[in-house]
Amino acid sequence: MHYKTVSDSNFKDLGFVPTIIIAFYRSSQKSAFLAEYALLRTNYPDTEILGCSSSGNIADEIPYVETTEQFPIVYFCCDMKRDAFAVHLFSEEDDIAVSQLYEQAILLSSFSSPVLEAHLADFSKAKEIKKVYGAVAGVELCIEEHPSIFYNGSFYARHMLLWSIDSERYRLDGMSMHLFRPAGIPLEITRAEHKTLYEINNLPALDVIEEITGKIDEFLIGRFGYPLFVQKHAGMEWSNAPLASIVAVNREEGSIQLYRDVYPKEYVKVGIMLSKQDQLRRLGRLYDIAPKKSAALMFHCIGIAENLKMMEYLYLEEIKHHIDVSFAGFHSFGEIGSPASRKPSEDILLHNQTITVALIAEKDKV
Amino acid sequence: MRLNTEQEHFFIERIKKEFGRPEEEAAETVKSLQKLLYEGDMKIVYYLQYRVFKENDPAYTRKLLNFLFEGYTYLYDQTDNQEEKEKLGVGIQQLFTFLFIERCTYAKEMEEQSLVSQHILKSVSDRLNTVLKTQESMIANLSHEMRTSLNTIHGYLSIIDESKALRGEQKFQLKKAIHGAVSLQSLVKDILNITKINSGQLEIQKSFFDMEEMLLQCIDHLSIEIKNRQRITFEYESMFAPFLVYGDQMHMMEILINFLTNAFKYTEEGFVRLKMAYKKEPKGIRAVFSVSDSGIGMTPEQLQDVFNPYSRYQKKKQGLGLGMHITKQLADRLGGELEVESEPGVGTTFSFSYLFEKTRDHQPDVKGKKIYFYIEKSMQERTYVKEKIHFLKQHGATVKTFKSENSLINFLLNAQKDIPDILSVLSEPQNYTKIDALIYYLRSGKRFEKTVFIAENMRQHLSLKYFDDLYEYCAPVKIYEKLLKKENTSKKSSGVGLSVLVVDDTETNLDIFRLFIGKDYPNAKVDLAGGGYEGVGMCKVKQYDIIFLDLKMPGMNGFEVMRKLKELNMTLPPIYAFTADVYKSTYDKIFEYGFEGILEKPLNPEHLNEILQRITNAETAE
Repeated sequence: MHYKTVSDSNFKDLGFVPTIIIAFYRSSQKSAFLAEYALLRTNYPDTEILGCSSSGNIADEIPYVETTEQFPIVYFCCDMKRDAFAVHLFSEEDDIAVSQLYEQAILLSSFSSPVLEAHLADFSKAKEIKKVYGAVAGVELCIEEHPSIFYNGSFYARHMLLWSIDSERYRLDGMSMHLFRPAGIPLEITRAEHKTLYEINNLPALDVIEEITGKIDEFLIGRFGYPLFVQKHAGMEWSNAPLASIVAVNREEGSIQLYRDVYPKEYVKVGIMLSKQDQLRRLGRLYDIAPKKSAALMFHCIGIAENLKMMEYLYLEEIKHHIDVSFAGFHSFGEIGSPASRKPSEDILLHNQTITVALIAEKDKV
Repeated sequence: MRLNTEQEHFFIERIKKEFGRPEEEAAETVKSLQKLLYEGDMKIVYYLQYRVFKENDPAYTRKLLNFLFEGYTYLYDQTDNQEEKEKLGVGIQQLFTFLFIERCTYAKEMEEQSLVSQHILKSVSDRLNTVLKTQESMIANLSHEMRTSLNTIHGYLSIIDESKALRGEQKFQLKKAIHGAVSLQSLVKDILNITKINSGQLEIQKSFFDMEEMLLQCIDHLSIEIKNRQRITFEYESMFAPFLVYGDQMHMMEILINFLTNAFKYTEEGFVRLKMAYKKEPKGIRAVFSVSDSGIGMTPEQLQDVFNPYSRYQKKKQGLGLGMHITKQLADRLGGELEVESEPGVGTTFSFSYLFEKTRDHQPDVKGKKIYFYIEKSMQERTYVKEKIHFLKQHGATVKTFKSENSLINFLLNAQKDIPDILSVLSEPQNYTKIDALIYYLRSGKRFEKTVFIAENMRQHLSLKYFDDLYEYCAPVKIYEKLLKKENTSKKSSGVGLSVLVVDDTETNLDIFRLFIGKDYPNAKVDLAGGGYEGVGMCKVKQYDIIFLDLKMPGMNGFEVMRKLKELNMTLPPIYAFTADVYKSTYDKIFEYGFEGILEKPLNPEHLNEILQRITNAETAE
């Protein structure tokens, strides 16, 4: 399988005819992307062309992540065998016929909602599906635009794209890694509506959390410095639980606004940042599962980008240092994958604040 | 614009020298630097940023900073072109900003994040400690309540057992019930011990004691096990110790009993051996107590884990697996050293070594007493026996030794005035029965009515009827002293005129008190009060010789009763606190309130007897 990341719209040197192209376009670049799509379609009439809006992109050239708007549109191109994959488009309301999918997939969603989580839970339960990695599309923070996905000429809101891949011929591995660890005892959510957490242990949620964290600092909220671990059962493995970033607090109500929906009878734990050594150790789990050479789709939470700033580059350089990999990806608003924990989990979860990596390689070249 | 050959050479040599890079790599780096300085290509900046991140060493960062400034100054000085100078300035500024300013800004932000983490960790730790304390106190209270109930169950079962009301199958079932109650009591005691150790409330109570006597008490504790486990030979070896040591006897006993319990638990057949040896050291006397067995032994992995809590290495065995953990904690608190050696299939030896810094010579009250021995041949040369006899003589006892059965019988039948206070027999097992019958005969006359007959070193359990005291091992000198005292006071022990008040809100506890006191002091008058107010009322109308006062009672608790009694300005008898709350803080409070002492729950009949004996002795002395 050939693959290449194109960040300068120059497809002349591609050297192969791609069967699938995934474009990561900044939300302000939709028109430019549409124009480039017309050219691509002319040159590659049979290629499946998918796309996903973002707040910033990741490409296979230094500094890998956008720091000064270097990569307005990044294309991941590969010539995967046409009969070894399928692309499915679903709306938020559609039922996904799991039996029609290959057992591994890349999922791009233009929305993040309980419906998406329900689909992921179904994937985890289904025997047919083993691995799903992906992300939720985003928008540039300063632009009033809805996230979108793109499929063969049209933009879609509140839709999902599933690129399902034959596991007989291609290998898909990966992990969702966050930089925090859970601390303290589980706290029960006793009142919540959508993304607002009102009460924990029957007390105002903000009071309970601030009793642990100290007064929540607005500046650190902006840097996604207060993630909470959320899961349904207090006794489950906490390091596998997905994070939910605190995005705002309401002192009058004593409530906390999270990045995801939460429900009464779920449990939360506060997260504290891992040391740099522990973060790198956790990243090291990727090297154990990585094929010798692979294409990497990178889905970095916007929270990671805000939290690490230019240091985000270092994590990608570190990956480059250890495995032979080519990057393409974007800054996302939710990531999909299995947690990078010591105890491997088959759960496919919707995460926040992770670096999610999906490595794709041809099987006979592994 | 680009670097000239001389400038390239300058940088390559500096990189080789400062960073130890090979020529080729240094040349590549210089090319990248050139691209930054003259073309604005930032690759080198990111490369250096990654190097700083990976090296994670301030010295490396400093070195890099020096290199960049020196390089900049060198190039700046070599050019007169203002535009080139400006470009150089921009390049170096970019490097500096990326490598240091942004990094410092990030570090500053991380510091804030780290402060939040520290705050979270502290508050989480505080919360966990509170939860742990609550749980601990809940467990302690629960264990305390369980212990009280178990005390009741065990007390009643023992009374039924001693009454000999049950026989055959029912007696067997009763024994099972007693055994179950004892096991539960032991578990509850373990839990309470752990709670005490964890909360730093373990009271170290030091006093002078006789090591041999302590060892025999440990053996007594395991007597049922020793008797029932017929495929195991129990062996006991001890050096003769002519001194008393100063230490925490109770907790040392606990350590040794745990050793013994463990040895019996993991040994199916063979032996269990308890041994004590000591040696003098410059700072005191170091004693080593060890328990060896021929049990299943442990693998090196199990050995590593043996002192961890819940580490029972055979899950089918009874217990929580707390015993050895408690033992280790106790040994650490006492300042002793534990050692364990083991080999799978061969056996295990646990030893506890302790330096007694304070000792005192044992001054037995045997002056003028006649202590006679019959020692069969195999025992006559034993160091222990010889040392004991020498010691008794040294302290003024008249010691006579009969070395043959005939000479003993001859003496006993013909003695007129030379009547011993103690006659101790160390013989072959078959001879004890013969001598037991002879004692029966001698007792029919009056000559030997004051003599205490002791069977020592029997090595097995023998059902002897007329000996006053039986020892399967050699009896320590302390035992002689006690027997001599007991003989003097035996007349008092019926409790004639002894007046006791027991105050406890639990009816069963009152009942058990009455039964236990009545067993050894049938003539004692025992009054029972079901609460603090009642107790105070009874004290107002009657003068007691001793009061046992429960501390935890609804209404007026034990401390309040004590305060009330003091306010009455009457002469108070010795008042003992009856409690299961054996925490240091409670101990301190008990003595602060003026209690004479503590009688721990569950009620130990021997301890109760000791206290009553002390009272009756004091009264007789008066």
